[in-house]
Amino acid sequence: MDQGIDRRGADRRGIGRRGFLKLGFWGSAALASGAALTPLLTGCSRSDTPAAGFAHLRDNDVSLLRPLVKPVLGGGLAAVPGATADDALHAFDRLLEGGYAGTRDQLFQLMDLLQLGAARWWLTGTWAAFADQSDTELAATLAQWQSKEGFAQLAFKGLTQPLGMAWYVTPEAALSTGYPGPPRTGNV
Amino acid sequence: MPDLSMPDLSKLEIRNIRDPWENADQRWQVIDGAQQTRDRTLEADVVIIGTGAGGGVSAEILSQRGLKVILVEAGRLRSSRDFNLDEGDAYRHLYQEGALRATKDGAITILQGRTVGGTTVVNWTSSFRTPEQTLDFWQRQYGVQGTGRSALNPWFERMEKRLGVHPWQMPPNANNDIIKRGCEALGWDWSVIPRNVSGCWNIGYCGMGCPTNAKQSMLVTTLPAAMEAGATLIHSAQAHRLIHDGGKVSAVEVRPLDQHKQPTGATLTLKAATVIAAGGGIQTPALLMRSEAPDPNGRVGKRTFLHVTSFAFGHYGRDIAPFYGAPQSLHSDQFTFAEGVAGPAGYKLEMMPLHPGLTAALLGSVGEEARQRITELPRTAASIALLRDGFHDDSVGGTVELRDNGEPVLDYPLSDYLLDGARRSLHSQVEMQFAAGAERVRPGHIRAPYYPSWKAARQGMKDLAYQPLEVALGSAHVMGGCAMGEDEQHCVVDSHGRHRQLENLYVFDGSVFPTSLGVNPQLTIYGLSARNASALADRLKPVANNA
Ligand SMILES: Cc1cc2nc3c(=O)[nH]c(=O)nc-3n(C[C@H](O)[C@H](O)[C@H](O)COP(=O)(O)OP(=O)(O)OC[C@H]3O[C@@H](n4cnc5c(N)ncnc54)[C@H](O)[C@@H]3O)c2cc1C
Ligand code: SF4
Repeated sequence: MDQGIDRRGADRRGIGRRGFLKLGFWGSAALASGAALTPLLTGCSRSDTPAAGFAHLRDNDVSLLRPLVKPVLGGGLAAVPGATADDALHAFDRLLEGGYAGTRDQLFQLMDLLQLGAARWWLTGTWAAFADQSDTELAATLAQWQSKEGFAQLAFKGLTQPLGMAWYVTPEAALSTGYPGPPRTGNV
Repeated sequence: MPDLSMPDLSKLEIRNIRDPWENADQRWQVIDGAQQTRDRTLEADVVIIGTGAGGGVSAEILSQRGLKVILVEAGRLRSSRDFNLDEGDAYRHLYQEGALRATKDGAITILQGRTVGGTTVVNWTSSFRTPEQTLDFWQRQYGVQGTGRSALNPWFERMEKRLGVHPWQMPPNANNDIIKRGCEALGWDWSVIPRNVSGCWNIGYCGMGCPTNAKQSMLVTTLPAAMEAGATLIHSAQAHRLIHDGGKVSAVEVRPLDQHKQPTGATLTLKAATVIAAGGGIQTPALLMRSEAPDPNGRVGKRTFLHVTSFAFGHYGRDIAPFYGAPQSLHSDQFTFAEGVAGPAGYKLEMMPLHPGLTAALLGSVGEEARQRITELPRTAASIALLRDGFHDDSVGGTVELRDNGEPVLDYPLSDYLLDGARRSLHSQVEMQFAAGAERVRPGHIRAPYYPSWKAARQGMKDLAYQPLEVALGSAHVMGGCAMGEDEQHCVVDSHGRHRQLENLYVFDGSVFPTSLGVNPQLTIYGLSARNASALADRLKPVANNA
């Protein structure tokens, strides 16, 4: 099925004119109906190989998400001494472990979409790659993205909500919220 | 104001708890799917698919009657010696889709259990009998027979006794106390919640697997009893489909799963004269759909109901410690049936426990705002409103669909009817929390701030758009999709849970409800399943002195 963006042969960061028009069409349909990611994105080609050290996230996902971690978590990352963006991405990867393959696929499709400048512009209001934006710029991008409705809101929630959840289920980040932690059971 | 502050429980040691599953392999017949790499065929009188509320109760009754029972459970066997109270581990190991489940459009987060004992292992222990209004509605609209409240009362009593259900005796935690203070100030109804616990330590980890075995979930009650009576448990094994000829099920095709929930490649074929589907809402309809079970009126998976739940967060200028203490101990029925059974959506008010991961997801937002909100966790209270869906023409619930790979997805369009209910339920919660003394309250809506007063909130909430993804919604109660009743057009199973076309297939779980309930579902499932499993036992193996 060729309903979404046809990226075969297109530059990883580029987007074919034909695909863009289709994205526009499906985009407005999605905005009007609040439709899920799947119909919009079927047709995106994607790699399946996880990045080194990850069970699910692929190289492209890791480089897409890495710059976003700090601005998404606010002070949440710095609150855990020594924590890096990659620690949060490993937590994200572990959260995905529990999910259905089909649900992970939707997330991958969203991340594939976000590799494309036009899609970033449409969803987040900014063309620039996340890696090319400063933390201040990213904070503004996130604020802009968050203020949108419909499909962009779904994409925002779909990406940022599990990232926050994944971080705060880690015992170290959990303690940084003022939660004193669970009773001790000696169980692992 | 009473001092309801909790001590810091992170210093508490929980040791030497008796675990009924200790050395289970040596005492009972337990088969670990992860170790099954060769095809096998097993036989029994009854195969039960799913070990939650419906499956557990059925297993105890049928195996104690002397029937040979095989239980199949997709989740792995975990018990108190495995429960470490780590939130991430709990979601990964004990919840459907690692707690990442949501409706198709992403608008409603769904929590459901997936482990031996099913959702009863992670539920919050509130135990209510089915409201009379709901049962009467089922009788009127769906011709459900024999489920009047007086007919069911003996079954509720029996299960209450079996599971130690009593109104909670200890003072509520500070979070639940808000129901009492808010409702008293407003003259609203409130009362104490009956809980299925025995010797509860009041620590508040019911949602991560009770580490003390105080919670009388299926894991520590009916399932060990069934095992003791000779049942076989196959865990880490997913019933993929029922093999049938359109009139009768001959076997269940089961896929054993490895530690990563992936099929090991082997197939277990379970042959039995009687099969019980007890996989719960979403899963049981999905099993019937994968099996291409006869469904002449296209009803399977339709009218799947959630108690769609809205949230409000309050700050009280003092510690609430919403992570500690019995998670739910008080509730209010002020609005449950206020507008009649079939009027605008009614809702039940309760509180929910908060732990950091789920709270971060619920509070939403990013950056400094998200960080600010999550670091207020110890001082945050969370109320919830459970919307009663399915009682109105505009309230038809959702539909289970299958992905190409067989995974179920719940399509649950949010009707104006439900969104209006969400709006009203947010008003009530915010009003209640201010009446309880909150300094600031925020309705669960992505555009809403913490309001400084009820007056400001009432004004501000007028401008919010009550739209999917804007209103924060979740649900821990999945019901329906295989409606019971005598109306052949609408009902997948009869009033006793027997499938209308496959004569030896029964559905004993929450998926048989024709509507949602208006109360937390476990006791309804226990009572109905006890009734239906007993009737089935009488048919399969009449008690000698009855015969
Ligand atoms: C966090 C939380 C808190 C809750 N709190 C309360 C509460 O306080 N009070 C209350 O009344 N209710 C509560 N509930 C809900 C209640 O526990 C459930 O409604 C009830 O347990 C459902 O029972 P069931 O028999 O329908 O299915 P479940 O208890 O969900 O059991 C179904 C089991 O079947 C297994 N299964 C499904 N399909 C297959 C298959 N094909 N092959 C093998 N195995 C399969 C599943 O893995 C699962 O373990 C809560 C739920 C949650 C998530
Ligand atoms: S509150 Fe009681 S029932 Fe719940 S986890 Fe703690 S001890 Fe168990």
